[in-house]
Amino acid sequence: MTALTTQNGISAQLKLRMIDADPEIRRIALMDLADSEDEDLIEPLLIDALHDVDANVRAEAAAALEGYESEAVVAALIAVLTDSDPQVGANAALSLGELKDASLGGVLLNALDTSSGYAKAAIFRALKELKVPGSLEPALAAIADADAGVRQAAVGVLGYLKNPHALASLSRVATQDADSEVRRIAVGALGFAPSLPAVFPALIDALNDASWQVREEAVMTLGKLRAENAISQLIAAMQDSYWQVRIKAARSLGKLKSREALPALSEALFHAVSNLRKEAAVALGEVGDARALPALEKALEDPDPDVRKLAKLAISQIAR
Amino acid sequence: MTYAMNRVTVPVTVDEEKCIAAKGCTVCVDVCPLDVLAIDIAKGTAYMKFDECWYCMPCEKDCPTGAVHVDIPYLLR
Repeated sequence: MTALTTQNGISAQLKLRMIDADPEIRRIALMDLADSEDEDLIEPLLIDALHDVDANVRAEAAAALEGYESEAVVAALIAVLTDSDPQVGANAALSLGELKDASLGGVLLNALDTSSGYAKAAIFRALKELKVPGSLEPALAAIADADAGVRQAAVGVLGYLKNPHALASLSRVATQDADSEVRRIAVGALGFAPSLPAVFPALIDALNDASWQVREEAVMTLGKLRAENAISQLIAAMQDSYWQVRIKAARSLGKLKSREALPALSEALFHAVSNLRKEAAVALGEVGDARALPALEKALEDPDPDVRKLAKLAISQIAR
Repeated sequence: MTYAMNRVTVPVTVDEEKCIAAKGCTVCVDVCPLDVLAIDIAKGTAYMKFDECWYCMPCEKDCPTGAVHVDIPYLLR
């Protein structure tokens, strides 16, 4: 691009382009500005550009502010989350989502009180990875929000906070929320539980959820928590109508080294979906029971080379 | 039947109506790792100067006005 800055700051030429009557020239000037290095100098100009009359310029400014970590930037981005042009709001949400400085959590938390819908969800998404302890109470309150997007983001915050006080609420959401994506995120969030009994009933309920994505998350979480008393339910999940659920069930049964699962895993070794056959072979190797050898030897003739390779690996694991 | 002895199309095409290179934009030229794009000073639009595209796509993705189109060969899709 053209010369960006002079030694004393931004070039006169660039300043002129930034106030040009043509919005496309202002937009390109903004892109040039964002490429320059003096962040302190650029930041106020990018914030000003968020108020441009042209939506494309505002959207460009919102995107260019990604990586700028100051209270002024956060407040300005929050303000444009509800811009009349949805692209401006979407870019602002993405930039907020990239924040890394937890000290900015206060600005985000303050904005929650006056926000709703899309903006509130975006603020929660920004708070998620910052893991600000103060976001626990607002997130717990927001899991009753009427907007499913807000509930999804709030449950995400609770999952990242890993605070045991949220477990009861997450268990309730995991089984009762009307939105399947909220339930799925809550089921995944239960994976941080320090002890299994507190979340076990909710996870078992989730295995019978109407949504296969929730069931898939539940079998994964049970495996992650090494839920040995869920083995019979995981074996039942090997008959799920969705092979995606069966794959994750096989993975969890492998992690649990469940000998009871040998028949179900051996049967899955000959399923029409090759990814399920691969996972079953891996799981049988992890279980390490010699009774699986005949099935694994048969799988050495599988048409999929990956299945043959994993079956061979599983046989060597069992032989050890 | 007539047929072309040489290739007559290039993979990266630029919609001259949409291209704002005349206003100072050089995004597609800047992002191309092979430097195959250039600005036609006379027309004030970007164009494919060298036919050596490896279909990495940032020129199409980053173009602020959606003027750039990369035609990916069928076998690479």
